[in-house]
Amino acid sequence: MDIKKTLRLFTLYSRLSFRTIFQARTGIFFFMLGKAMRFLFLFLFIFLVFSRTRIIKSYDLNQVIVFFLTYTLIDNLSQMLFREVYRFRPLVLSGALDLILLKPHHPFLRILIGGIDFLDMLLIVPYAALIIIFACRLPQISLTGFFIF
Amino acid sequence: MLKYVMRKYLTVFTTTVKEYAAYRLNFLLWRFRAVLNLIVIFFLWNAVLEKQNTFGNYGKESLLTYIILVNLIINFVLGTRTAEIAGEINNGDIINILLKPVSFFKFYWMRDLADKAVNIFFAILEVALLVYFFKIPLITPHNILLFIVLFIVGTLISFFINLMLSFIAFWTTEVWAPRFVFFMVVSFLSGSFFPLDLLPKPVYYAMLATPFPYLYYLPTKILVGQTDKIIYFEVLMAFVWLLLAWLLTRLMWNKGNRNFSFWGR
Repeated sequence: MDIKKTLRLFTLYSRLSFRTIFQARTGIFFFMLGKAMRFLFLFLFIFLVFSRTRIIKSYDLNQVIVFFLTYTLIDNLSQMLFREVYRFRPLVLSGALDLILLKPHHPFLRILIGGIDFLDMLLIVPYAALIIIFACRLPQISLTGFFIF
Repeated sequence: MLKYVMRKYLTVFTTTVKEYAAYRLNFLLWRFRAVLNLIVIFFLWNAVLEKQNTFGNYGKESLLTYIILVNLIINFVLGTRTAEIAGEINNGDIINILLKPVSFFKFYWMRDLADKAVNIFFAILEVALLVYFFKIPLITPHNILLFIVLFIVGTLISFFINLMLSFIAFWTTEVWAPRFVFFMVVSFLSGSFFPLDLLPKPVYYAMLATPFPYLYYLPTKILVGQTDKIIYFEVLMAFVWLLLAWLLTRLMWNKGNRNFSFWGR
């Protein structure tokens, strides 16, 4: 399958996913609230630990925060791209997977990247901004190190 | 008669346990995830306490014991099958239970108990292995009687809150999002990562006004002996929240039933 057609289908599935997500407005509010709370709570937890200690296994507060933010960003990116895998099991159990296998494209296009999760996409910006802010506080950061990161 | 009723609900219990045998890999991976969670949080605290013997008002052994025990207790308190009720309300399958000669609440309490029993059984084995292999220093449990009382209260509060989260389905199909928020809140405000009394005093007292500390933080705190005085207020609040949770659940169930209609399934 050529890349152009794959991209067109990916865009189509993402558009459909966008419409599906925004049909449930209350759901959007609660999911965003839940994701924000999880992030905030873990952030506070790190601060709580470092309120009574300065170093954990040679890592200081800023280094631990950069670690946490990097994990959050990567986790968020993968959830944004591969949200559809969460729906794979019900597809198999209900038999609806047959309908995907019959389509004239690779089934992974639908069951793996079949629609971007736009809620996760919204959160990437603040996460990336926070990484930059806290990474800049690290004394040992260099331009080469940043690009390797 | 009593024997017949007991047998009926015992069958619900055993059938639920057998359901886990249908998707064994699913269950094993679920347990694997639980062990990973425990290992990560344990080694984090172990690293924090490597160069200091106390953290706040907790000694090293008390804090590590708290982390191990709280993760054990979570398996029982939060283990639930009530999440499926929301789907059953939305697709009408709940009618099949309502028509059966069983109490809806007792039916789901037995399903929950089965889930809790299976999870705690495996959790005890996992924790025992971790304690043995990593030579984790545990302290002797304290106040076991008070712990048992608060443990039962916490389990019941959790059961009623979970039921309420599913009863939302009587009014909307968007049921997963509020449950997601609940789990985010519970994971932090119930003390899964750290004992809540490590927080600044005003924040800690504000939290005591919510039902979350009574799920598993308070029972675990009592078990590790972190109570220098009798905690009448906390015990009273636990019972107040149990009563409130029960009343609200009954209210939602009654109102929801009046609101609900479906046709033959």
